[in-house]
Amino acid sequence: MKTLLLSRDYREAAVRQEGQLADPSHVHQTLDEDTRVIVPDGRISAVLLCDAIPPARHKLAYELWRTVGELPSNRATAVGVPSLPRLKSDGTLGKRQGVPRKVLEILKGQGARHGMLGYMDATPDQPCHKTTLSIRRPELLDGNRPLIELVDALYRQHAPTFYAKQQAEVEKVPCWRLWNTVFSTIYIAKNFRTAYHTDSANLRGAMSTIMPMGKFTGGELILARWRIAIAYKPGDLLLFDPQQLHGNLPFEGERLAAIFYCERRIADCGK
Amino acid sequence: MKNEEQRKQSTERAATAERRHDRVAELDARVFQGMARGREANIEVGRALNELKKILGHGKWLRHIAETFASCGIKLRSAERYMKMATQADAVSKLDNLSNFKPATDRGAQEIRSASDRAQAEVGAASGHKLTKAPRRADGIYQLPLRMTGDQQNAMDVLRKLPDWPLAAKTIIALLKRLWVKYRIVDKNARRRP
Repeated sequence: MKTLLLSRDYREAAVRQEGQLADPSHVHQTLDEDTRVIVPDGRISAVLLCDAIPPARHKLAYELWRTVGELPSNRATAVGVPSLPRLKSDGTLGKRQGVPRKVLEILKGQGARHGMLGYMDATPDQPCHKTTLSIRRPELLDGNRPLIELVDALYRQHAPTFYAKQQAEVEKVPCWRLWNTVFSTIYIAKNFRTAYHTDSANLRGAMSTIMPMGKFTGGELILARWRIAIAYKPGDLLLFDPQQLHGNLPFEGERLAAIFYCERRIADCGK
Repeated sequence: MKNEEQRKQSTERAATAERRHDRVAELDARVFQGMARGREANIEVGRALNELKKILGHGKWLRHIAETFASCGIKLRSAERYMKMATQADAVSKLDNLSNFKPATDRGAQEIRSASDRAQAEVGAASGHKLTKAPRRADGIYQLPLRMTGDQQNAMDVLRKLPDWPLAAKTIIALLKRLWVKYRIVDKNARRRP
């Protein structure tokens, strides 16, 4: 595996990019082979594993998960727009905020959808719970159990320190995780090109794993702070720190991305 | 009266010296941790050494290197090399941070941007205000302009030196978060997904 030692840090410039869509001109270096990315202070920022998932596994996942159907109306930053109050039919402003309707119509036309599988931690409105999609369609998880366990094993093998931290967290609440893995939740994004964002609902100090699926070209993941693009394809797996700004380049074709992660406050679900 | 003032001054001097010793120990530890991590951490080691040199001054610095690190493999030459690497990396970072990210120009990005602008204009018209996006700030230290008595400031200094300070800082931030909700600066239901 190649090790890429980064020496240049674009932190200040990158932080202003949150909510902006990525452009190829932002990239100084593209990764497309097995690589471990080390940032200047010595931390591992990302690990790209090419062809780590057998075709049978990711193709089955693609067929099962491509059916997610919710519009990403609550992910304004990732869509690349400000979260705005909804306009009511009488022209006044509603209390709820989100992605503006006009933008949602465009996303709908592009086929952008998303869905959550597994468990969510508590919010002020809702206690810890299993997602509606997992309850209504259990086959989306059950049918992909071998894949989820394989991703878990690859994570343990290639980022053991991060894995250990996540494991310690999920073991506090064994019934709020996916089987015996360190993942509590899987986020599925379909035809969804994200603007630069961080994953604030994820466990701090742990990694997220992304697995792209489908038939597409483009869609590289850009880590803005380091100006690198990760050109992953179906069958590849990317482990990376989701607290760093990341976003996608545009793509053509149908593209799905599954993000396996652990909810930030999942350990509180046992209380 | 004069005695009391002298005593106060010497206490302050002792406190400053202790803080300096604490910082030196912290930086020494950082150098050792960096050495243990291998060559990827050379820049980090260099940064810690640069700060140590600034705190100790040239004379003490040479002795400190010899006494603390020479036996573990960091000789003066290596230390200077790490320090130079760190200085260069930081200089490059400063330049890098002035570089700009051009806005995305593909068709999809333009569509989203123009729809978003129209939606903002509509919401702005409905609310009677022009909506502007707040500039994004980098994470870091934020200094609160709190007016405190001398005793309170002393107590605060002691609190910041305790090993429990990170926990205390979290408690202060939790209190601030409640105030932001109370004064409707943030929406308590706001929550982002990955």
